[in-house]
Amino acid sequence: MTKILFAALTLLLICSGCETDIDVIHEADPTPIVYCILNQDSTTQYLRLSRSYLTDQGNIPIGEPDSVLFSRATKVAIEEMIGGEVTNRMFFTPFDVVKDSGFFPVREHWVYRAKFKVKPDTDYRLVIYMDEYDKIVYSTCYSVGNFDILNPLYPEVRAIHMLPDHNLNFLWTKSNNAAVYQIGFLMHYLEIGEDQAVEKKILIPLSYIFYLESTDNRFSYSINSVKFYQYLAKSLVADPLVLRKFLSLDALIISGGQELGYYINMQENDQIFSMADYSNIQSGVGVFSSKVIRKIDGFSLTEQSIDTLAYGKLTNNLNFVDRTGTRNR
Amino acid sequence: MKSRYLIILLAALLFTTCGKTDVPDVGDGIEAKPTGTLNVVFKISHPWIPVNRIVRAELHIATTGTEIYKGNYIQSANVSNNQELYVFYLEPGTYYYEAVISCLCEGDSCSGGGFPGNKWGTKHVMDKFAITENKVTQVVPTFQ
Repeated sequence: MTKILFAALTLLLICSGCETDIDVIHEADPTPIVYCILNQDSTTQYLRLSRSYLTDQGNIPIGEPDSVLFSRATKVAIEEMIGGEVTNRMFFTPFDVVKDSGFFPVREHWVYRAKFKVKPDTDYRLVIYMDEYDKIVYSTCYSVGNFDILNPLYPEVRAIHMLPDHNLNFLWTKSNNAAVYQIGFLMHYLEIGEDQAVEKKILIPLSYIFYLESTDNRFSYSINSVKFYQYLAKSLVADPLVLRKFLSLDALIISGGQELGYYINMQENDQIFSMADYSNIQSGVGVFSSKVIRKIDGFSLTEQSIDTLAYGKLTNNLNFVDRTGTRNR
Repeated sequence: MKSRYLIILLAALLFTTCGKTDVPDVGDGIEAKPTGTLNVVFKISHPWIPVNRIVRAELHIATTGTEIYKGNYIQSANVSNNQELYVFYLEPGTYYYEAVISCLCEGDSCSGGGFPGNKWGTKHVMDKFAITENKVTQVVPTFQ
């Protein structure tokens, strides 16, 4: 009898006492996702703040908010620090960005903005206080220093030769605390349709150049001219009814802070969907860094380059006019 | 029987997976031609204007003097104030080069120094040179 009772008790324990299910949807506070790159050439600074939320097999759990936005009660501020002391505090206010056409999972799209000028070589601290969750998100960055472009210069008398026989060599001075530079062009051109001519511009970004450990005071980089035409061929829509005319070229260099350098470096080298993204946001994820843009406006192209734009293999179907202002091929 | 199937399978794998890899035909129709080298030592000097107020503006190569005037260059350099030597690789033959400098002075200093107009006035120099296969030709533009 005792044996039967013992066996029954053991069976009961085995069948009822060992629940091994794990709830993978754990209730937790959302993670703030913050992106803010201080633009030292602008008096308006922008910050994107969104939040993570969990889904259960694609469905939002009952009672969970489906928004990627935090409430408007969230306070966002950037503090300017000199000698460890806060010398200035700037508050950001949210505004709803007018979105381009397309599908967006959320109707509203807030971006925070504040009016202030960022000083070079200065400590900045980002503080986000979330009333809802009694949570504070921090980050710090040291703004990049000013720098100068040493070549190309003098657009009044120099034309850029955009051909591989003599690639253009960019030369610039070091920007303090900068870890990444990007070279590019802003091309101004005319689109001549049946009824009207419209002036347009296109940003042509070229390679990133990383100088995380460099102590040199000058940097140089020889661009690949072919990539200029490749980018135009990829970005402009070929329309046989539209004639295009090259107007001018602005040469630009953007220097980015160390945080931005690490972030871009990881994005460039990591595998897609990597979970190990760089972040310098405490109690959240994202990037807080700064950038400086230098631009020399108004270069023309050499005659051969204009002809290459018009009749080259890559850009022939974009209908650019040649050096004579016509197309004859 | 089994080993025969294995051999057929291996042969099929060899013939189907190790085909010629497609290579983009970027070099199609391009043949290496013999070349010589042109070194242009583009110094800035001027009898009356300080050299730090003069910039290199243009440097072109053309097949004839007429083509220089027409702007039909075969090669051009991206000149800068940080580079004095410019190298061109050309097929053997005779060519013309054109070098241009520009004056940065304010007021009438540029015209006083022989530059047409004032600031951004330019001076041109043009000359003939010959290129020999595997030899280096050096030219030094001299502005009056």
